[in-house]
Amino acid sequence: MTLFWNWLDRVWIKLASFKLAMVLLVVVMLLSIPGTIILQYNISNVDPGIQYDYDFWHFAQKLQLFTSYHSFWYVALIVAISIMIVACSEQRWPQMWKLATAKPVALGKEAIARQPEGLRHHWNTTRTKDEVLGETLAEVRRGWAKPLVLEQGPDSFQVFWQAGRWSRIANYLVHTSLLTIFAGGLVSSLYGFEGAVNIPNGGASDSFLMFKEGKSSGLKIAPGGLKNERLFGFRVQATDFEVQFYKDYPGRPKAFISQVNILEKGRIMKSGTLRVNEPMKYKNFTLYQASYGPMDDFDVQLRLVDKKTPFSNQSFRKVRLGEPIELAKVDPKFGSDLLLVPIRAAANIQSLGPGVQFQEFRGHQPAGRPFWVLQNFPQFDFERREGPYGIVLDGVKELYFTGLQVASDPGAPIYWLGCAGLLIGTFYALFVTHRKYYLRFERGEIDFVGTIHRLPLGFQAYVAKLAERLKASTTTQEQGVKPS
Amino acid sequence: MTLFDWAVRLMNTSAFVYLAACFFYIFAIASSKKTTSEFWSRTGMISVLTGFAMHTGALGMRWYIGGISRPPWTNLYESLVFFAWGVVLFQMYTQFKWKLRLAGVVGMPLVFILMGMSVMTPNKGVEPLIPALQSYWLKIHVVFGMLAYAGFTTAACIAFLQLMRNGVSLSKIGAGIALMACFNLAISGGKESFKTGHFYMAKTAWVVGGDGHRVQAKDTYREYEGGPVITRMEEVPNANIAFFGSFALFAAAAAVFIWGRRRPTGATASLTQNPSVEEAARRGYDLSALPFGLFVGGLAAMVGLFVVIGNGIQHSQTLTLHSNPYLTMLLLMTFFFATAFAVITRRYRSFLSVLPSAERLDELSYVNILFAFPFQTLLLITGAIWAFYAWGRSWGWDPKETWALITWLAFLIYLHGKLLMRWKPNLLSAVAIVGFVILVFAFLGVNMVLSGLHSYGAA
Repeated sequence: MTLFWNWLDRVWIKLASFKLAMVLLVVVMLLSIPGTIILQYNISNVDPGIQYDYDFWHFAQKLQLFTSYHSFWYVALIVAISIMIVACSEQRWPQMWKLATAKPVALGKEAIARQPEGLRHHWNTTRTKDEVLGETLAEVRRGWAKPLVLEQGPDSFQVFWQAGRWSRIANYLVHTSLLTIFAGGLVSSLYGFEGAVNIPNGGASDSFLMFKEGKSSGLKIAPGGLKNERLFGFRVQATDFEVQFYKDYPGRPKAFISQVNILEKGRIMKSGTLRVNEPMKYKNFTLYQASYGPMDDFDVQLRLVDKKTPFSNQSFRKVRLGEPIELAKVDPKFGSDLLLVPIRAAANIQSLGPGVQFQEFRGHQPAGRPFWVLQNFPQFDFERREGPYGIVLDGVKELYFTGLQVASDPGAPIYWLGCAGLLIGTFYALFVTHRKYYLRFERGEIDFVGTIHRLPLGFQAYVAKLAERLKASTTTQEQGVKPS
Repeated sequence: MTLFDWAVRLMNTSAFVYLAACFFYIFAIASSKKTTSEFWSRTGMISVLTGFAMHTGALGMRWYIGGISRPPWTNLYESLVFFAWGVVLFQMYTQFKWKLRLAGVVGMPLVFILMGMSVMTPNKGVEPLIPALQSYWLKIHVVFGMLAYAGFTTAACIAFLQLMRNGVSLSKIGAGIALMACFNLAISGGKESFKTGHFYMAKTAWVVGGDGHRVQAKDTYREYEGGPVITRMEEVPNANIAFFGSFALFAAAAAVFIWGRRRPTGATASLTQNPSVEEAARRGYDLSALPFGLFVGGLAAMVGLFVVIGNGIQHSQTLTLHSNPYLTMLLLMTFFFATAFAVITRRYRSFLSVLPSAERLDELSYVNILFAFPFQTLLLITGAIWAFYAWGRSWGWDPKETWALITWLAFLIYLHGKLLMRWKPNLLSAVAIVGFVILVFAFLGVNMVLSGLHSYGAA
């Protein structure tokens, strides 16, 4: 057993090699490329393999190239990277922790002389040790830092202060967050799913088509449905759907808006408006406005008008295509046993605007010929067609089905947390530097040194400015106090 | 003229002001007298400032036209222009704050390329947003992308100067530029040219644009409904000699540069990390006459190609430059970099003497990457959040997303190389430049070559 642990320890140390980590990073970068060139399975590409010849298809199937990012090799790579992150981080931790938290040590004269020239400054003062110490501490505190007196003698002292030391270990936040994101992704791919459903305007659906399903989404298969059809466990009703277009830009959509009700056992549990970028949550489902399409159906708003007294006798109706109107019920004069049925409609007939085709029926037999009525030219129907009544169209609205995307992403809270950590960590690790300052006083001579853990050249100007300020406050007397 | 026309005209003018700046910077390195050189680099700076003022004004006008909720970075045209704006911003910071005037030699041709492509983009309209883009994430996502990409671009420009200042063999750099020239020429000519031995360009036709007006655009068709879009090509008469000549000369130059390298005179065996100008100049100058002659020959043939293309356009109804934006800009970019290289080799020592130390250049390149990397992270994360609200998934491995991730990984390798492995500055500079090439592919190549969701509206 100890042999095994020893062996594991050796492997662990080997794994913690930075060189191997760099190689892995390059490999991840390179192996992310094929999936961007070869088409991948997703909702719109049902079988990307169709594009290629058999030999390539066979090869790609073996290597799982059509699902590159979920293939065994990519997943193995992510696992390897995760192990690598843990191994390298663990190995470096004591060192990094020490850099961040080590007790500062006073610098001797030689150590100061070894510092780069641009980062050390020297000046003399005639003031006493206590005055200089007081001035230095005050100046440091003014810059929001906490000064630390490292040593103090009868005519000497050394003050130390620092900033940004936690940036030394900010990379641990970055790497932990990356692992958290991987974990969130894993949860999502195991328990999440993605699908879609088309609901006709005014219709409803109990089930949707699954496109991507994890190991256990816990959803029931729709009885008698398609192989990948799943039950919501509730009913989604689209009470209205509307496409709005920009006025001056023909064909450029402005908004897709669905009014959706969620029903359970006939009761409305939730209702709301779905737009692109504005999804709706119910239980663990999220519904997104994704697409739409024509239903070949129209809502028609019309008036039946007595031709002799056109303004006194009007009947308003809203009907769908194929929905009969009993003329006798509207007005007995219009016909005793006739049915008026809108049979076809178009949003634009030969540039004359919207129109509806009607047919009169007696019993189940058509009576007469079908006729078109145009919304923009009502007199056309009044003058051309015989009979007691005329039809005025007030609105011809094409009906669409709404395409909703259905998804559940249980890993989301985990990976969003990871993303937040990644952001904070990256900004902290890369924007903040660990700066340490030493001010040494000995018998009227002052040495000031700044150190930084990266970008030393750019730091020189800052250190010079700081030295200038310290020099001013430690050499001149305060105003109004004259040396006696 | 409407405000919109003014905005377009102003933007186009700024592109040509940047073009002038490119020439001024080349004059600056070409002139042997210090005062003349100073004069030209100052003139270059003034034109960059002028161009930037126009550029900013034009962007502001577009924002005013589109309204507060439609920022001027929502389609292909605006992406090009906005990204170029960011690069100029970083250029100016580099030149004022760090006194690195010569960053313009590398940076301004890149800016001009982006602006030139925007000039040739047919659809410049301030169109209202389609539903998917109506999100406040659009506004910040693109801004972070601009900051990251502009930072990385500037880092790569400075990395190139670092390589020069550190005394990297001029022959190697020359070979690199000659290979880039071959690559750009190959893309410009395309498969057809190499198959048939003639030089082709995309044909232009009058088409009805989105707003009902007839505009000149690339002549395209589909063989069947839903099939791939195919461009009709037109042969440019007499261009084949110049085209293939230029290609062959550059290819030969690249090969001879590498294999016919002269041993630099008086170079010390031990390489110091932060060489003086003298040392760097001695170490780097290893050019021999033959490859340099071939290189200049390739450049001359390229100028010949420009003349022939110009002639072809004058005599044809259906040949225009603006139907061939990528070709035009690739050729111009090659021309600028090849010319700059040829000039630099003649004024090598004085060019090196105006640059700060290699160590300083390495640090400046590093600072840009330190700045840009967190914004690239933000780009990825805000993109994921937006996708989560719009499409119901946060990460879908769409080519655009994946290439942004690959860019992120490239600079991640840079950072680990710097922090963990303590790589030498030259290797780091090479990584930064490779990262920049990947970035260019992620920004433009993906949309040209691969299909995906980021089609920049209806571009």
